[in-house]
Amino acid sequence: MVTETKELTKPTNQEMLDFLGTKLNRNLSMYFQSCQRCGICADNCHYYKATNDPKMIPAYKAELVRKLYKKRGGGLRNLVPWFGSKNGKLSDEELGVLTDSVFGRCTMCRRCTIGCPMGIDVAMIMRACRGMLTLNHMAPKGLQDTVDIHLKTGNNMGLENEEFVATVEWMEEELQDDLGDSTAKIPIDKKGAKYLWVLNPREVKYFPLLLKAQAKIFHAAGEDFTVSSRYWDVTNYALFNGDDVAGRTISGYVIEEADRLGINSVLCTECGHGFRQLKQMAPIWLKRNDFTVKAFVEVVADYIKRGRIKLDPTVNTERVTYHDPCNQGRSGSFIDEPRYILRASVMDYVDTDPCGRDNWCCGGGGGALTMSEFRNRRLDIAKVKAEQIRATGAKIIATSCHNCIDQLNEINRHYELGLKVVNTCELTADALIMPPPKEPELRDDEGYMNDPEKWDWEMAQTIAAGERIGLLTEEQKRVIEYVRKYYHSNSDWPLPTRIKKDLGCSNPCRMFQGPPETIFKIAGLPNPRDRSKWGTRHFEICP
Amino acid sequence: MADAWSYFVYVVLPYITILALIVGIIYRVQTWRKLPRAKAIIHPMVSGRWGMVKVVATDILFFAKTFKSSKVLWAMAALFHIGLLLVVFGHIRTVTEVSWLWGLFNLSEEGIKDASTILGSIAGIAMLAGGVLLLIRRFTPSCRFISIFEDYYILLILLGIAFTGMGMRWFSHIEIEEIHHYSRGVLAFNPEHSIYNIWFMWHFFLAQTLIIYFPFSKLVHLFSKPVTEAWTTR
Ligand code: SF4
Ligand code: SF4
Repeated sequence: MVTETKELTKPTNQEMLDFLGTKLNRNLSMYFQSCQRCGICADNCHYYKATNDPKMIPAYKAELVRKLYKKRGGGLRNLVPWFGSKNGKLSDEELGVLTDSVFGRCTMCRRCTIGCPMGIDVAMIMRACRGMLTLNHMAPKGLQDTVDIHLKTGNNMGLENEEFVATVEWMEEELQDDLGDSTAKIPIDKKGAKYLWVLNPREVKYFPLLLKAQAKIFHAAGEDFTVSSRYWDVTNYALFNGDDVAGRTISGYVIEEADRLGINSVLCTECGHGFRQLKQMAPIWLKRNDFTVKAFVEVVADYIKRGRIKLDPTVNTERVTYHDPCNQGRSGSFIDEPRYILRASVMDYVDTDPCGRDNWCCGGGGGALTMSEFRNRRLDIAKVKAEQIRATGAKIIATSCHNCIDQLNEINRHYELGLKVVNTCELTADALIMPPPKEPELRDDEGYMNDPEKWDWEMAQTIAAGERIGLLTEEQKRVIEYVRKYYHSNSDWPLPTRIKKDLGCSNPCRMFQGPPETIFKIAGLPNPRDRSKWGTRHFEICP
Repeated sequence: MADAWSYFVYVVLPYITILALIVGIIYRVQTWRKLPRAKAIIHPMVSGRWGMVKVVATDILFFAKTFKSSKVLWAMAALFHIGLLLVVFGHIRTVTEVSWLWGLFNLSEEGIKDASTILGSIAGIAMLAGGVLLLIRRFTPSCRFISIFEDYYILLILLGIAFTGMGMRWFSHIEIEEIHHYSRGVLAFNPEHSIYNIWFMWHFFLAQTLIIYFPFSKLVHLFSKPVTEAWTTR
């Protein structure tokens, strides 16, 4: 429906240039004027490095966009008043070149920015132009589809929520079987948990074992986390097609879901751009900063530092290296954390050269993996990365981004590197020394029993003493037996009127001198948390 | 004709230049100020304000990023910029004798002139050499591809200014007192167009065109570099 109406409206050239005008900010304006076209950025961009094609030089790509601004006849017109035409015409050919340049020749990795003596953020320039082309429906189809599906279904692969919940439950079972520990849980929709854990649909659909690996680490650390059954997708490809409206909507899904569950901390799975869009863009898009966003590596490094998990590196003996996802390393400042984790999880860790902030982009960023039309170029420019990895002699390459993993897998095949490409969580989960499974607490904070099966009369007497009830009378015991039987067959907590009617006794509430909860507590039933269904009514009955 | 030209360069143009520079800079700064700043964090690289200042200052003082990328370009750029800095600094003498400053170095009247000749020549040559090298570099294939008219234009004008400036020193005999006299006249709104020195005239003319162009050209990196670079280290 949405796509159909979109096809009908093509913006005029002037509208497109006006749109570009709304994207102009102080940064862009200063960048455009500050570039010296010194060419330092050329060797910092993997596109140029691999192809030696001057059309790939970041400054050249930026200049293409600057020319557009000159065309607009505003903004940059001030820059050099006597240059640039003001006719506001954009030929199809020109737009084609632009599409090829801003979508197909930049992964928005920002490596050029690091080296640029003027600190020019070419990725920001590219994004402004991508937004304009998206408006004109010229964004590569794969990329645009990803965004559209996300808007339509709430995740970028169009998975049903039932499918998601089933996967999570399945992984929970697997985890419990593996550990032989029934307390290992992946809680769904748990209100007020510390973290809302958001996932990448790729791992849910194709690599559910990654869920298990991460949940295992959380369990070992005793983390209080939950997943949402509605909006659980961390990704946001609107970061790459430059569509800020879609970007706001999509990042809003996760943040509002956190609100609903009363959580103000979002924990991202190992997804580079997902982390960055939530951490850096969502506060701007949604105009709020009352939530925190944590990256997986950040949290796990913290576990290790505080001794919340113990690792045995001797499990992973092969040589491991790490690839810094651009969005999490260069743009997200997590350089030391993943290395700290890997050094603790494996025996033989080596860094690539260069590494950290200066690390090469894998070539699959900026949505490049979704743009099938540029596939060959994407593999060609990955030469830089491939050689860099080959030089380390590593057998395993770990990274903390699903996008990077897909690209690294392709590089691995294309350049025959013979690598194993893994997420950091896999290595860490393998190296975990599990704490002995904890005996589940007999009773919860409010005094209810967690497991009704563990109940006996002695227990009941203890609980009753806590509720200032002396030795249980026969009458009371009869009520308790009835309540237990009722719960056993109905999985529900009986209303006092029901008890009274079925047993033909006096008012059970009066008998126990308290609300019906007291009875349930003594009878060893679990906490009847969800009182909304029945709680209000019986309070009226039992004053 | 020649008279009218020198009248224009010596008497009219200086005021146009000053006005254009002031208006240009105000206009430039205003257009930037009016635009909203992008709020996105670009690179959370270094922690704290001091870390940021340190990174930016190192880069401004030593061209650290250029050095890391290419030693050859670094040498050219350093030569050019240091030469330019010294030359601009030396131009203080055209307006006023800062005797207390020279006093610090224990220089006599003669000593100042000698020092000026030697240092000025070295700086001028450094700037010329650096500029020529940078211009040659502009013609290497990849650099040529990304260069636009402005790049050549500014380099050529700067080289022209440097060349005529050095020519003034070497091929003609113009005394600093004469220039003093003229610059005081300009400042007192009573300029003379009496200096009939062809080198000086072209030097002065080219310099003024560059100054007028300054706020609209890539030369603003003099001011914008610390700002844009600070953004990336935030
Ligand atoms: S390194 Fe920076 S200033 Fe130099 S050409 Fe590239 S973008 Fe422009
Ligand atoms: S952001 Fe990365 S891909 Fe884009 S121009 Fe810069 S170095 Fe090249």
